[in-house]
Amino acid sequence: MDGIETALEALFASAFVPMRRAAYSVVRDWDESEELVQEAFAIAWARRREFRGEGSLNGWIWRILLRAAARRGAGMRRQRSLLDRLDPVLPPGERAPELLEAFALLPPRRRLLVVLHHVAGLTYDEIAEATGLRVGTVSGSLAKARVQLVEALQEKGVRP
Amino acid sequence: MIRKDDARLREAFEVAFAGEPPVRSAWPQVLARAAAADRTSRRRRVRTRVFVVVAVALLAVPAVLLADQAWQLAVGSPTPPQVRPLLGSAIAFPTSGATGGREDGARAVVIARAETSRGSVYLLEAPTLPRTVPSTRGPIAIRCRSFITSFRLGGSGERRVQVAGATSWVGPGRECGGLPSADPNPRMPLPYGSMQVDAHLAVAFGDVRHGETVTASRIDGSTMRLPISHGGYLAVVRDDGRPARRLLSLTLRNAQGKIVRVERSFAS
Repeated sequence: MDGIETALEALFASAFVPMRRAAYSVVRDWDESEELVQEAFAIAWARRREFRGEGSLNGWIWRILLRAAARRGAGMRRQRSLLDRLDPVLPPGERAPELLEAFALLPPRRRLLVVLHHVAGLTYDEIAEATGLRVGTVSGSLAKARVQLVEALQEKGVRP
Repeated sequence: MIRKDDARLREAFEVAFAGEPPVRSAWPQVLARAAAADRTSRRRRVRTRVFVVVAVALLAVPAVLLADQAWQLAVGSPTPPQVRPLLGSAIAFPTSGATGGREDGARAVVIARAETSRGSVYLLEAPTLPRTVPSTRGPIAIRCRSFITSFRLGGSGERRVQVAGATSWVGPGRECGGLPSADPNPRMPLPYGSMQVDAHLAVAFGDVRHGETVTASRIDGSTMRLPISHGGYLAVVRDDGRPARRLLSLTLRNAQGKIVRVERSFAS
């Protein structure tokens, strides 16, 4: 088995949960998000020979996932930009109502970056690869999102 | 501070996702999915190729049929109206010194047809326009027979109608070129050999190649299959309108095997 094939299988095991969470935030359904992650890996498997190793494998698969999510997601499909077609939300529930509220106040693009960084655990570089944004843009947007979230939670008396 | 905030936010998001269902997917499912997608895309590629081939065929075949069918002229039929005005300016027979004049295009008829690898080529016969020439006994009116060998048309759908080939005049006296003649003109040896047919068979050859067989139509409507032993015979007009650098040679022999006419022309 080639290195990339082993790496893909390993990545599937380690990244499935965060990827499914990110997918869920876009498609808002757990079954569909599971399907979506499978689809992303199936696409990556089919195109594995095209992967040149110019970026990280992780970033490449995340990009495939985001594209697949944009096709199925509830976001603005008319938007040209991949990122503007994604409109992430958090799972509804009573566990963290203040966070849900604070998160909903963020602009869509910032919400996506927050999901990728704080939920999926991607580094700035990996987010930049997956989204096509510059690292500086990712860093700046996440800094603003962080401030917004912390302030909103503090206003509600929650100490993040 | 930032790291602390990040860690706390991460914990908070972890809480938000705490109730997610267990993972059901396994790696073999991904592989099965990829294989299914591969089969589907392969089928799609095959379908696309078939579609392209069919589309090209649907577009190309009618064009070819139209181009060819429009000019399938039977032996004995008059030449198409588009060709008639061009007959008078057909390529002159270069070495005969013929002075027979211009053909009467309206009276030109197809006297032979040959099916070649490049489509049909024809031999036309037309009287020349009557004219008066001086003689020792005073001016006399003459009219020659003109053979226009090998014209090929680009097809009725094309804007330009081209006539390529050679014209020779036959009739009494040098005014008509002095043909028919038993003299194959030794000053102009045939570089590619000659095609030998009997005197009753008038043939125009297309861009034939060694090893091919040409089906020639006789004047009486019967056909004859002629194997080509020497390639590169004829001046035909290419599709771009430029004459090919080919030599036309047509040798007619009578039933006794004697050469009665040789027509040759270098395409200009």
